[in-house]
Amino acid sequence: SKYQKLLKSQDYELWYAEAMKYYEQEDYTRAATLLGQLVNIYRGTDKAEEANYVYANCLYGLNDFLTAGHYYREYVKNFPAGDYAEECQYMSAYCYYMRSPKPRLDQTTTEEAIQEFQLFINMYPNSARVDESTRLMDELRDKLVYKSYLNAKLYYNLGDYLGNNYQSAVIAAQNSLKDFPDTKYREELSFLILESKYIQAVNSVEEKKEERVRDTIDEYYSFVNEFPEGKYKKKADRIFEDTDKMLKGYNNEVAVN
Amino acid sequence: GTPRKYVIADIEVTGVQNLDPKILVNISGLKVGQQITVPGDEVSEAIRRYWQHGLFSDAKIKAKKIEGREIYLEIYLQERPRLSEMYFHGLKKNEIETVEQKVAMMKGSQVTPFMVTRAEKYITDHFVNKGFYNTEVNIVQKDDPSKPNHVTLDINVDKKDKVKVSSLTFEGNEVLSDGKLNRTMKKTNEKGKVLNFFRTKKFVVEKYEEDLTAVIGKYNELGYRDARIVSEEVSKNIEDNTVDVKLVLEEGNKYYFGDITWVGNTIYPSELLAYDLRIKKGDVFNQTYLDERLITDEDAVHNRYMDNGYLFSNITPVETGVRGDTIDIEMRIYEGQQATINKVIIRGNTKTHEHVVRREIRTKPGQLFSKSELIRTVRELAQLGHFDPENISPDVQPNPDNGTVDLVYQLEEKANDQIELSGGWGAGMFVGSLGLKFTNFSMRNFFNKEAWRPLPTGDGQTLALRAQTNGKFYQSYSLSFTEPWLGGKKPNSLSFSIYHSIQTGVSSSYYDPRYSYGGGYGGYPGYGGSYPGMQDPDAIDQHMKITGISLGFGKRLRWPDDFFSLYTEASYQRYDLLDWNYFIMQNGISNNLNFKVMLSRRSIDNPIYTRQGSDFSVGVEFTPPWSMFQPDKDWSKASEEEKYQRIEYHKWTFKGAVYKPIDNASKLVVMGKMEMGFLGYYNKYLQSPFEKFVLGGDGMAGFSMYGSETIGLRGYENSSLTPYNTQGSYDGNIYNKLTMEVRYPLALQPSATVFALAFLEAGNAWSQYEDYNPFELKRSAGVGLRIFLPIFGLMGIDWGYGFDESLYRRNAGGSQFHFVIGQSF
Repeated sequence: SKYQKLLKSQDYELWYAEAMKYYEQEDYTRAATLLGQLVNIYRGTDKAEEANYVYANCLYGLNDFLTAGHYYREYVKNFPAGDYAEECQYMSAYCYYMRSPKPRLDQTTTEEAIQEFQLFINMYPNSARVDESTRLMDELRDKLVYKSYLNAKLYYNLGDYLGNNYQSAVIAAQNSLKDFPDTKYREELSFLILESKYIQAVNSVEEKKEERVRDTIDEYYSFVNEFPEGKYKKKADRIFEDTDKMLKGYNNEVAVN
Repeated sequence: GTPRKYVIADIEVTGVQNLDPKILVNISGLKVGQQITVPGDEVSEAIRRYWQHGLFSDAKIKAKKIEGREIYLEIYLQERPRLSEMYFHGLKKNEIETVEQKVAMMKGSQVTPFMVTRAEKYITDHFVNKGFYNTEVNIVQKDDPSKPNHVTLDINVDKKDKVKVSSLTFEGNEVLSDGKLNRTMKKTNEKGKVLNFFRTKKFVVEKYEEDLTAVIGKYNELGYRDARIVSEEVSKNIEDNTVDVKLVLEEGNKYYFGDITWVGNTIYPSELLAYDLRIKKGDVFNQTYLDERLITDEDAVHNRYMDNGYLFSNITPVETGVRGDTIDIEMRIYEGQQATINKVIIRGNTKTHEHVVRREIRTKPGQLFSKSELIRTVRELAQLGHFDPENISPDVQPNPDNGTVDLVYQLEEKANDQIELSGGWGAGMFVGSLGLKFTNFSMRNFFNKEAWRPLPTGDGQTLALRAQTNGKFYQSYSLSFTEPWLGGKKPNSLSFSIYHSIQTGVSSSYYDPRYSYGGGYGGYPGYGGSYPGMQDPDAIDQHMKITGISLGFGKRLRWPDDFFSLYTEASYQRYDLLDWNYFIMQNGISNNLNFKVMLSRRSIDNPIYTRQGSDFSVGVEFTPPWSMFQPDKDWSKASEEEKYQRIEYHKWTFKGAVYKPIDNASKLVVMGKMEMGFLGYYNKYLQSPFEKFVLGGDGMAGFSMYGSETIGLRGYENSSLTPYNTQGSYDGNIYNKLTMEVRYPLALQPSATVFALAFLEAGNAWSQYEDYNPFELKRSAGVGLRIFLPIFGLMGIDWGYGFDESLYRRNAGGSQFHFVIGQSF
């Protein structure tokens, strides 16, 4: 066929022209095959910029987000003042976004996506794509928080299996709140901390019990302060009633002595 | 002259053909209309940029003309040539491929002198490291006439012959003989000596230098800590392409440990640390051993601190005095504060869900840092089977400011699903089996369409499906599912399986014995065409149908230690027989309801190539004692159908295996294994015809006829060591087996694990308890090879030689080959 003949020829000018035609026709497979070689051959020439940009778009069209992202970044690196630099910076981040896996899996790509969007916003603060970038970043951050929430919850669920996992749940949830202070899972994480502290207090050895009970009550006050009408209010109140009773027991003891 | 200011009126680019002048001007940073100083920084900066760009071999900027305050610039650029083709001379095809990769020059890229020199060096090094000590590389650059500004590279490689070691001589050695030193230098060996027959004789500089270090190491081990190589001489012999190596050594004196004192320890008393160190005054001084005992060993002194949170602690041995041949040492200890674990991060799980990994991790937020727990975690993660066990690297990231530490577990997923497919056409029927085993299944995503890529994965559940058929003769189907963490809170496993099989009498008259299945049927006594019923076209009505279902529950224990686990199972099998004249009963239905309890302790480090640890299990399986519920009945007169309607038995098994590495590199591993089993009855007239032990051969279960348990014993034919009862059925009620195996790994990659083994085995099976004699064993020895491929699982071949005669089958011993599929050893 014509395409096979083209591949055999070494006429790069013709390759380039045909590749652009295939790209227009959205035949990304053929366009990408040709451009993949041309980007190396054309390095440093006047066609390099266009070839790089179109090649990245073809790869994106083929859903190869890993390689597409790489070539968008190549464009930004080599042609920082080029016509498509803004778009390419955005697309580089967007390719990471597309590759970001489910929250239960390794989130390295998600973190890279957030960094790349941040870089885009820093570089082009007036771009029309800033709003969209912010929205996607929030979505990605939620994923990370949800993941860290699952981690904390897992420790909570593990309970006493091989040691005190409630303490681990508290630390994991606190870390998660520290890393993402304005997350939408804030209430869940805060309540998880309260619940874990409560169970630790109940199961505690006598010498640490009073301290843990007090700690739980402190936690309760800061929880209801932040979420006075929250969905966990009732459960939290029950925890308070119970711990308060325990605390009173200690106070009475002090009074008797 | 004096610097003057001009305005650029025009910029012209000359000298280049392929490049766009506009872009080239841009690179310079100079613009028309810009004010510049001549001579000045702007122009030299522009030239510097061109050089930095790497595209150009020459760059000059000059003033074409000056009109008043206006300056006309000319930029002269010489472009570097591009590579059109590389030609290799003097190399073989496969060598060219490896070299091309090393050189990594792409067609169309620019050729710089640096690239050419680098390529020359890479290629030379590559061959020198392979023993071609005299390799010469010469790269010639030529213009390519067919394309402007392109060049071709002729890469001429002359490897010359390999250089071998002609002689290796030592001088100044008294303590260690020439022979001992020779053996210490593992990779540098003289040619033409019988002792070195299997060793490399090539002279490779890198290995030679390693060997020199090894020589000094050897002396240090023996207390000669001043030992040094005074001179080393490598002289080339041109005529036979060899080298002579001559080493002059100075051994120095032998030293001993003197007083060892401990300073800076507040938490542990010096006596305890000294006890951990296990070095006494007067012991031969050995720096390597000292370091091992202090830091690297599993029970090293430092680990007392490292297992209790003292991550920032360190111990420095300082020599405080040398008295004659005695060295006094002061152990200076810095204890620091205890580090608490803050974050535990898991990376690299691209398939497995995080909770599957995290729940196995023993280092948890809020706990004190512990090196032992860290190592134990790595072992547990390896056990999961979802990750490459040779590539699990925990990264310890301390934050000394707040006394915490973050732990990052870096993992690498590996394919763990297994598929088994075999099939063919034989004797007019389709013969085949299909087995699928998914070890990282996710049941909850079963109805989630998006998760099917190609299967829902990530929850660490196992789903196995298997179908086997050879048409009318035999069919079997099975399904099993295991959830390792039922409910997600405790590692209590739940497993469930169902199976069904149908066997008919249609068979041997037009059944090709080459397709003989498994061990069970092939060895059936008298089987092989002599049954008249086989010819009978009605034989298709003869059948044995087995249907079974089982539900198991496993629990990890914390006592006596946390390597223990307990497994309980309830299972039910129904045997439906019609005119089945190959068995003790011919017609009717037989029910087997049994319960199983198994206690095991498993502490092996790696499930595929085990180096260390042990695996013990003791189990009992029993049915309710049905006959005791009818104490008045006289079972000796009951019909077979009645007797076996509800099978009753109790069955006891014990298995134990211990693994231990026997070389320093933990590669060569010895395994000792012992097994025994006993099948008992409640009523002597009601001995179970099912659930027997079948001993001998490869140990492959094939299909489990009559619920029997196949026990391998290499060097003998399949099931040849099993006694018969009067009806001619297998009647192994007791067995013993001992195995000693030495293993050596040939490859430990995630893509393939290969190891060789040599074994000694002995075992026997008995029908009656009265005949049992644990010293009357059938012995065998042999060698074998195992290959573990991620998709196909474990496969292997063994050759064994059985030394003894089987009582039940002639010539069952002697030389035997066995094929092994699946994880049976």
